[in-house]
Amino acid sequence: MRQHKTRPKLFTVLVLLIAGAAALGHIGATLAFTGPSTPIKSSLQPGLNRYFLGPLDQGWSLFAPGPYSQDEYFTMRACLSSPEICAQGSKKGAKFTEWRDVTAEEMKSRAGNMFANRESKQSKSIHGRLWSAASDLSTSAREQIAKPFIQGTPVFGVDLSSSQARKEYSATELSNLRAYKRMEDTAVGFASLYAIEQWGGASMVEIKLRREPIVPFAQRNNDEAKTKSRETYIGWRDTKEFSKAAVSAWS
Amino acid sequence: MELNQETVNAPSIRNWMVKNRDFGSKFLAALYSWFTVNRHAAYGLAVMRMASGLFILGWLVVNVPVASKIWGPGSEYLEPYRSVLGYKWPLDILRDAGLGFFVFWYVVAVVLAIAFVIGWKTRFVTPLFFIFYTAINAQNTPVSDGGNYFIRIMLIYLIFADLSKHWSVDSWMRKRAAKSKKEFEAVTVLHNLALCLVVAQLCMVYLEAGLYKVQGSLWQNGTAMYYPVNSEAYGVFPWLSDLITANSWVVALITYVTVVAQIAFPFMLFHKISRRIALIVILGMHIGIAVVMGLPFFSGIMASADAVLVSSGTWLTIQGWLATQWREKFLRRNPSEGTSEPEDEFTDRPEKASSTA
Repeated sequence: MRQHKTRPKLFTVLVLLIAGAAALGHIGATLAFTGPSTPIKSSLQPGLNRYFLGPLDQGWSLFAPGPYSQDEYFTMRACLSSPEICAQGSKKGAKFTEWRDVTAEEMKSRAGNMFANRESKQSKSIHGRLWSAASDLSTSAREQIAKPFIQGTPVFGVDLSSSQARKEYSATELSNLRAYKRMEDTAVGFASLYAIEQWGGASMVEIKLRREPIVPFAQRNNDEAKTKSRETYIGWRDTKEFSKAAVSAWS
Repeated sequence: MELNQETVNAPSIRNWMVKNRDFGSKFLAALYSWFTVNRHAAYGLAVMRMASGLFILGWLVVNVPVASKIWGPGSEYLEPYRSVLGYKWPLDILRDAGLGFFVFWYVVAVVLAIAFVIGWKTRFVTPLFFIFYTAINAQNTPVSDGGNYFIRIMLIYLIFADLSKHWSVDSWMRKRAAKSKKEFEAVTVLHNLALCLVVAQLCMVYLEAGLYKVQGSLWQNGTAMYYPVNSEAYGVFPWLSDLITANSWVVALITYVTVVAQIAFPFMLFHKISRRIALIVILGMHIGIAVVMGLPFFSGIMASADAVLVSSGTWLTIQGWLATQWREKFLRRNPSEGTSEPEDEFTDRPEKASSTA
């Protein structure tokens, strides 16, 4: 390494000290944020979460601690009649579609194609987030999401941003319910646009998430080996409304 | 008397401290010199720029047919999810954008990717490229993969690095105009700090990915690799998945090599031999992930960052070999041409080898 023969310049030293401290602080914070739960990490919250919001967000538990070991499917069906007729069921003439496995349809473009576009990941990525949000709910809340909430009735029967919701639920419970509701709204929005793409539109949608574990390693050569699939069911919901530009992108 | 002399020369902490009384000042001088004299790993960063830029360009082009649906107005359904992600202006500029503005943004992103790859005005292009790329990615983060996350963070660091010192339109234009680039010391400091951040981030990603893996029972029993490649999402070529998972020894070997390579990676960088082994193993792992799991963009972007760990000397050797191959083929076709002296760029020598180089 060549030695600097001239005297260090004050400005350069200042830049090195300030930028170096910022870089060290950033890397330390990244280690704390992406690492396991430790007392250091807890003591730095909620500042740590705030710092890593947006463009610095990251997580490196890639395929760990458990590798991806199941097939995940987002399935749905829709009611194509008006909301009033749909609410009265098929006996009153409501027209329902068959169940559609959206993920299997999206995955077709990925089979044998390394360079498939990201459309093939849409429903699967919603599945993963909605499943995990639903798993964080209490048993009673999980029972509730399977019920229909239609014609403007809020899910869980209450507006989760209201003071009534704050009285009914603890802070942690409410946080989980809101996180779930955000993901459910996203999933219902996705299903609404899918209904526009497939059937020209619908008034209600019903969603079922299915997980099929991969056959265990020890049974990989057994052609008759089967695994038990699990489901998370989300009852009928009103479809979401979107701008003309969004609808035309899906039409 | 002899005994006393031996006592004075015997290795001890005290003797070492006496001999190295000025260790602190020497260390600080060396540190200052490392950060201020040379812009390190300039060839490695040029390769990272070209390779990661090409992968982002490929990613943008491959997704053109569905871009308006997954990132443009068609992604409006993600509004409840993305409203809490914390992307501020200008990174959230596409949230309410119409089709026209989205298409304009996407086209500019493609143009910036090309400018980034060829190394044109990188001081201006890199921050713009970060903004344009991140704004698109922020529209639909669920369809992103680790590569998208990784390069977004890397682009922030690369804003401060001199990416066009070599193998770029900028350096070619400078040479053509016979201009020497004035290098400000403070800018050199920022370049070298950016390089440190790139290497630190890279090490952190591999180390954490490895440490999280050893906690999993399927990674411990050596069968983890079997599962994702047999899923519909990551088993892109089922025949290939069946082939590599048929033998339990192969499955266990790949599983363990993956974990060991990731955990050992940061520690193997300290010596040039172990560093080369680490880079070859990690490159093999990335090629495997790209082909078997169908994740070429993720693997390619991760591998492109590894380029900064290859020495400038090695990159110049590779360049020289490629140039020779090119000239030999060219000469065979056209013996009258190709005998001229190589371009300046080809004879350019690396800067003083850096510790990463």
